[in-house]
Amino acid sequence: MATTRFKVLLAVAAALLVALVVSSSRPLLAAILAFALAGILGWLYGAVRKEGQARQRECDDLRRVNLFLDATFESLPLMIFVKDAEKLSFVRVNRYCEHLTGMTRAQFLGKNDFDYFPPEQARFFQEKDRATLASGELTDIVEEPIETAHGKRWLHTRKVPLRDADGTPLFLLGISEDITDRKREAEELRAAKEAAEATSRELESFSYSVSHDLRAPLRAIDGFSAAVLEDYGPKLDEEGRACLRRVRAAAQRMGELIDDLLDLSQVSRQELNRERVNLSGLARVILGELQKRDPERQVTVTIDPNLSAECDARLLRVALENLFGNSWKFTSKKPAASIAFGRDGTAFFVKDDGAGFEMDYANKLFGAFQRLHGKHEFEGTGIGLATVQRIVHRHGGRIWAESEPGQGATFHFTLGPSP
Amino acid sequence: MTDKPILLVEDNPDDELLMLRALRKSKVNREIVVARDGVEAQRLLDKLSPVLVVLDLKLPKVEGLTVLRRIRGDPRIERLPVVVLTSSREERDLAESYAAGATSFIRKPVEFERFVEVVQAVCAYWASLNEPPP
Repeated sequence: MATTRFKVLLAVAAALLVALVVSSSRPLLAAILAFALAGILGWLYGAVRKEGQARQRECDDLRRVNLFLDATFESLPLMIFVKDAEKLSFVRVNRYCEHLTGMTRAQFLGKNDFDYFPPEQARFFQEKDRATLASGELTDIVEEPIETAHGKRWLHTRKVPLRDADGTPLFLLGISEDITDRKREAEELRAAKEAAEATSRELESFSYSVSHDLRAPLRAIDGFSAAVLEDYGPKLDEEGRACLRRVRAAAQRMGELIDDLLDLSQVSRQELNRERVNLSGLARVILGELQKRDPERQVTVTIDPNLSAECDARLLRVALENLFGNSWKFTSKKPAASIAFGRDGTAFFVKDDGAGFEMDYANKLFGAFQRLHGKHEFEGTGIGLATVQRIVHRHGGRIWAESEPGQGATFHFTLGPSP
Repeated sequence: MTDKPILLVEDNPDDELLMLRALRKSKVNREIVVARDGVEAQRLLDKLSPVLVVLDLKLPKVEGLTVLRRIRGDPRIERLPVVVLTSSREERDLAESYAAGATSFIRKPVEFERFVEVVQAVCAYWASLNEPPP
């Protein structure tokens, strides 16, 4: 539009100039024509200048876009290459391409895949190139190997055909992400998971065999010792009978140890099923059972009525049975004891006023078979708190204790990411 | 009625002796027939018609659970009371035993007095107190 108007105005200006020359003998006409000519030329000058400025601006814009595209092309942590559609030779590669392959762009330009890669790899690349160019559609290659100066790498590649307006292929654009590390991590994760599953299966069959085979001989030891005591007791002296009673006590104790170990291993093997659990109700049931077992004991029980958590109901029952069982046990020497269950911020606590322990030994509390009290003082296998700790850890929580000898003990625990 | 025996399926000779000892001192007046593996159990099941089967799970040749499934699959004895008496209290054993049709699941205690109690109680209930299916 603007150019047509230019041409018309230029023609008018030329006509005026001719008329001016012809009419030089008639001064008035000449003056009018000259004035008109000057007006047109002035306008034309302004228009041309404006046009030039617009062109300059367009040029600047284009340069900026180019600068932006160039910087993006060169700085992306992706291998980007452009191949000529006909010969599939490289016309451009980016910096990451040089970094990944260990070759300079000068080595790439004008060459094709057969110049660097093993033939079967080069063939694979070019087949995909040709298919992409022929289909006119993007090709997504989820995983392909490539030989580089740093050894074999794995790429996730997208190939894009660039065609001109009438559909003739011009270039092939390739963008590749190096997924070697991610692939290796996924494989390591899978291997670790398989190993863990194998261990779990082994543990399962180990526990199964312990459960079936290890208790039977103990039953025989205890049973036949009892039989000897019953049938031949009168023929033995008191020391002989005492020895047999010790044999029986030891066999029974080992039976308890095996049961506790099996419980501990069950805690690790069992699947975690989180649901909303009313912990106050659970605590009431467990403490009720303890009271029923020792009806003569005077224990003041205080339970916060609104305690609940997203946790595994069965495992929490085991944990609370152990914690309250401990409190019940370690307050047994007090004529009037008290046990409390409550919540302090995000942590639950079980508090008693029993025998307590020295904080110096607090780190030994949660180890299997660790006991802080002699057997003559309090019964126990030393597996209870290890079991509790494992349950808490399986919930992603934490457990810790505070105590002083004679001043009771408080166990705090959290149950992981619940509000 | 009283001539129907109790079939004890037990491969451990110690447990067998202890169980027989426990029953000798009880009021259960039944013959105890012992099968020491799953195959023998099946043979005896066909021959006798026991009032009760006391079944261990881990057995040589044919497993206890297989014996149990065959009993439940045989129309002649499908309603026979079968008490699983075993060392284990693994979830798996418990679940599989009941799924296979166990009447009851009892774990053998280590302590002899409790073991005697359990054996006597089981046999007294199923062999004396309970009216067997026709």
